[in-house]
Formats: sequence, structure tokens, C-alpha cells
Amino acid sequence: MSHWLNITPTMRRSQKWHSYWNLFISLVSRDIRSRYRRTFLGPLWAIIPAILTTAIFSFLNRLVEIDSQGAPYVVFAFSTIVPWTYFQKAVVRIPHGILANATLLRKMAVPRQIFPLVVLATAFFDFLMSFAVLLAVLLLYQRPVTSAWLWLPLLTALLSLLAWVIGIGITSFTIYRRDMLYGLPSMMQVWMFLTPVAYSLQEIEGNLRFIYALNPAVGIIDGFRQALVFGRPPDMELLLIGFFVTLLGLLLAYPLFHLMSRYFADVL
Amino acid sequence: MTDLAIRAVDVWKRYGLPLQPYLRRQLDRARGQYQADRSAYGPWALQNISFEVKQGESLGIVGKNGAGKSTLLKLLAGVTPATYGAVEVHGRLFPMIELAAGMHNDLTGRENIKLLGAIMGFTARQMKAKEPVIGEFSELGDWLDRPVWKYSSGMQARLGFSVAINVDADILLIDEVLSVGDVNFQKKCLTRMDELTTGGVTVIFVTHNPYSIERICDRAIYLKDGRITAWGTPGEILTAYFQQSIDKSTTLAGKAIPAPHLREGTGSFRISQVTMHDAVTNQQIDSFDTGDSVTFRVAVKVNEPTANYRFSIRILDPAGTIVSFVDIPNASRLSMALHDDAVLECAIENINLLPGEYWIDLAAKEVAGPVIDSIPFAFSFFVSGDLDVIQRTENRGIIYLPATWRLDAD
Repeated sequence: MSHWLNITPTMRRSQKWHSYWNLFISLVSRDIRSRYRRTFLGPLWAIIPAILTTAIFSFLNRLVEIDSQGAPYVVFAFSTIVPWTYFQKAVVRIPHGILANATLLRKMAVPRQIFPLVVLATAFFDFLMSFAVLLAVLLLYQRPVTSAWLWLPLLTALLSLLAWVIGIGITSFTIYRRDMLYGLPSMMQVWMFLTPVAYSLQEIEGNLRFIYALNPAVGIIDGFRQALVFGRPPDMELLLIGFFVTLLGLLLAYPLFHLMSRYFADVL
Repeated sequence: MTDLAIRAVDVWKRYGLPLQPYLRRQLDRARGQYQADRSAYGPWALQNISFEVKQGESLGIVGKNGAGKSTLLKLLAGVTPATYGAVEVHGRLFPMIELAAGMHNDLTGRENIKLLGAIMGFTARQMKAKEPVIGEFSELGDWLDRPVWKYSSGMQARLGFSVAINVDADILLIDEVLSVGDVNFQKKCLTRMDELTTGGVTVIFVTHNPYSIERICDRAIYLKDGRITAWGTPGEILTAYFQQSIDKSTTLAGKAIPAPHLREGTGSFRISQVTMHDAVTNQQIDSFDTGDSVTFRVAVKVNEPTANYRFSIRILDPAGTIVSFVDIPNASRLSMALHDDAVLECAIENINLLPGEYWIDLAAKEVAGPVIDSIPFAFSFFVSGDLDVIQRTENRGIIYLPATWRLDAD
């Protein structure tokens, strides 16, 4: 028998979900409110990493000319760095979301599924702020608003799904053996270079392209660039391949997380 | 079965993922060495635990460190699954363990109250109604609007406790958290606990200090090595606890006195041996019954003649509280001058200590001068009660006061 959140058996299903939702909102608001409270720059920290990465890439672009398909490189890179930073933050923070709430998990029967979602939501909050900056930059460089922007919600949803799947998959192991916790930042860095963040998708040619497409982040990240910078819809083929890879991951990661998370309190 | 709050049926718990033990079992099965006895596939934190608690009842769980108390609470709280068996909980349960769990240091006290409320499953609106009560109970005043990281640890505990005790839980799991804050706040907590228990809240109280169950619990179980070894009234459990847990190695017979050079004091004389004797038979003992008379014999080795000294025996309970203090009276002091190795005898009549474990402290001092020799927590002894005493006192408290009752009809 499970009694998540110590709900009485007499409590109706809707009440139960209501209290989970309430807990979710409270935890998200806790994390967002507390994160930047003891800083000088406050919520600016939500956008600084993406800006710094763009600055570094722009500097590199001065040294090695990167083909930016005719668009200014700053816009070209920033349009992918913003969603990538969201993705990377979410994945890296999901295991920490469990570890940081260890005392809570050892004490109360709260559904473990909530914590990755809380991390995702707080990372999404940062993403929204950097996205606003991205829009300002696009405006500054006078890139037009096009109908391709309608793809953005779907792309964001796919990216969030992917981050969640990777996050819970890694968390399932990380809570038991911490290796991934230390390896994760480097892994994400490698992953970034295997994704068209700093460079154009067109750089990848021939047979390599199919293997490259198996990286589920490729279609989504490139989709952001195509829509925002070039006003084109995303490459559907890439997006679909990525989606199926994500789904496959979900089918593995979710049952794994569900099983492993029952024993989190034993090892935390 | 509506009046049942908790039911545990043959609960076994082994920590960690079940995969490895499963493989071990299958391997044994393949090799034909399978053991039907579950305890072979441990290590078990809990074995074969079954009990029931009715609504409004309060159950004490006594046991030493590592006996499985916290594991049992975790299973009841539902944070970890039982390996075998079933745990049933009827009602909203709140574990008062790690009271600060879920609190965030960078948020204010008030924000944390709302957060803890949400963790317990209350909506923001419900918590708004409770907030003033909680704030007042915590006595934090203006501090409620300051971030929790500025709080002292006592203030943090007070905040956590105030939230926990003022939300309407049907079942409270309490893990020795009553030692929160100063004496006044503790009193307030105990009063509130009493209100809750009389108001029909079920309480599971876990402790390694068996005396504390008497105040709160109707019934108790004694956990030892993950098994229930005794259950009954708090008094019965106390007796069982002391009988089973008394550590022979610390008693007079079993414990060696630390070497003189390891002890403090000037060493004018040194205690070389301590024994306890039955006052009547003069036989050496390490336990006696409530009300018995006992003689302590302390052999001393004299290094330089000492005339004017004090010698005291302190009797302590296991928590270190001084139960009694016996010193040489001024009048006798002159006749006790030490010139050569000797034995100091201290006869105490009618020691009315209730059954339990007690400790002895020995100290010798020059009158208004330095310490000569001292042995803190020198050894323990065990008082066992006769049935009459246990019945008359329910084994509550530390001392037995023989009382006479009569009815004054006028």
C-alpha cells in the first residue's frame, strides 16, 4: 500500500491531486523565491550564463570563422544557447533536486515524481527570462516576427520533455551511485558540441548526418534557430527522429525512476 | 474496523534495493542451499513486526540506538516500503521527525509556515487560517518576518514544532523531539500534547529514554535488534527494558576501575576496589530490590596519611540526573582519618529507588581543597522491584514513597 502525502483513504482522488498540485506550486515558489534572495544581482543570474556563453562563442567566432548562414553570429548563437542553457540547467539540477530535499524525502511520503518537475519548472522560469532577453536581441538586430514562431511552444514542450526524461533517467542511478553527479556537467558540455548550438546544422554532412540525427536535441535546438533567426519551420524529419528517441527514453526512464524512487529514502 | 488507526502485519524491512538479496536467494536456490528462514537473507532492520493501534491511543516504542525505532517510524510514515508484510494507516499522519525538513533557510518564518503546510497537504487557504495560531505558539514575534538562516537553532526547532503540533493530524509520529527550546516552551509543548491525546489524536512516541514514555503513552512496545521483545503497559515495558538491556559489563562485578594514573586528583589516596553488599547477608551483589538496605565497601590505598577529607557517593539515573548524594557527615569525619590502606564502609538503609538502572559516582576531596580521587560513572547497578511496589507505582518515576491511605469520613 502506498500512502503518498499521508492522504486518508477517504480522501477523494480530486482532493489528492489538488494537494499534490498545491505542494508543487509551493515548492516551485520556494525555489524561485529563495534562489536569488541572497545575491546582489538577483534574477539577473537567470540570464547571465546564456549571455556569457554567447560572448565566448562570439569571441571564438572571431578566431575561427563559423558559417552562420548569413545571419549575424550573435543572433545565430544566442537563439540556440538560450534553449540549450535551459535544457542543460534542467538536466544537471534534477538529481540535485532530489538530494537537496533529502530530509524531506526521509520524513514525509511526498510523491518523488514532484521533485524533477519542480526543478523543470524553476529552470523554465529562468528560461522565460533569458527568452525575453533573446527577443530583445532579435529586435535589436531587426529580425522579423514570422509565423514560424508558432512552432516555439511545441519546441519548448519537446525540449522540456527531453530534459525531464534524461533527468529522471540519470537521477534513478545517481541517488545510488554518485558518479553521474560528477560526470554530468562534462557530459552536458560534450553533448552541447554534438548539437548545433555554436555552429550550423549544415556543417554535418553525408553518412554522419543520420547518426547525428539520433541525438534528440538536434532537431529541437536547430528548430529554435530556424524559427527565430530565419523564420523557417523546423526540419520535421529531424524533429520526428528526435521525438521517437525521446519516447524510447521515456519508456525506459520513467518505469526505472518509478521503481528506484521507492527506495530513495533508504539511501539518502 | 473504523476505530483502528494503525495496523502492522508481519512487517520485515531490509534497506536498499531488493535486487541483490533477490539474486542471492535465487543463487542459493539453484545451488540447493536455499534457507526457508528469512532472517538468513538480511541484514534486517525490522523482523516480524505486528501490532495495532486504536484511534486516540498512544503507543510508546522503546529501544536502544539501532533497535529499529526510526525504521519503524519511516515505514509508518510511508517514506520507505516494507520488504515483506503490510502497514495500514488510517488518517492523516504527520511525522514529527526532523522538524526542519522542507524548511528553506532563505525564506522567512512566515513563508516557511506556508511551505510546511503545503508539504503536509494543506492548501494555501487552510494555512492562512492556521498561520496566526502557529505564529503565536512559536513565540517568535517579529522574527517571523526574518529569514530562517538568521534564527538560532532553538528558534528553528520552535518554528518546526509549532507548525507540526498545530496542524490537525490524526496520527502524530514523535521521535524524541520534545527536547525543543527552553523549559517554558517544553512545558507548553507537553501541555499541547496532552490536549491532543485527550482530544483523540493517536500518538506514536519513539524514545531511547524509557522514562519518557510513562508520561505520554497508554501502551508500549520494546524493540530489540529489530524485533518486538515485549509489549504492555509503560511500567511493564520499563521493567522488561531494564531486565533485558542491563549491561553486565558495567556492573560492579564486571567493570574494572580505571587505572589510578588515568584519574584526576592529587592521589593522597586512591580507590582500589568498590563492592556492593547486601546489608543482611553481607553477600556481594550487583542488584537489589526496592527498599533494601545496602552497604558499599570502598577499598582505598593510602599514599600519604589524610585526616580531613570528604568522600561522596552520588547515585545517578542513566540520563545523568543526580538521584541522591551521600557524603561523610561532619561528625564522623574525625574518626575516619586514613593512615594506612583501609576499607570505607557506607551503609544505606532502605534505598527506595524504583526498578531501573542506576549509576554510581565516587569522589574524594580535601575539605575545602583539591580533589583527591574521583571515578565518574564508576559502575551501574540494577534495582528490581517486588510486585507490590510495581503495582503501587506502576513503575512510574524514580523513587518509591511508601504511602498510607485512609478515608477520613468526617
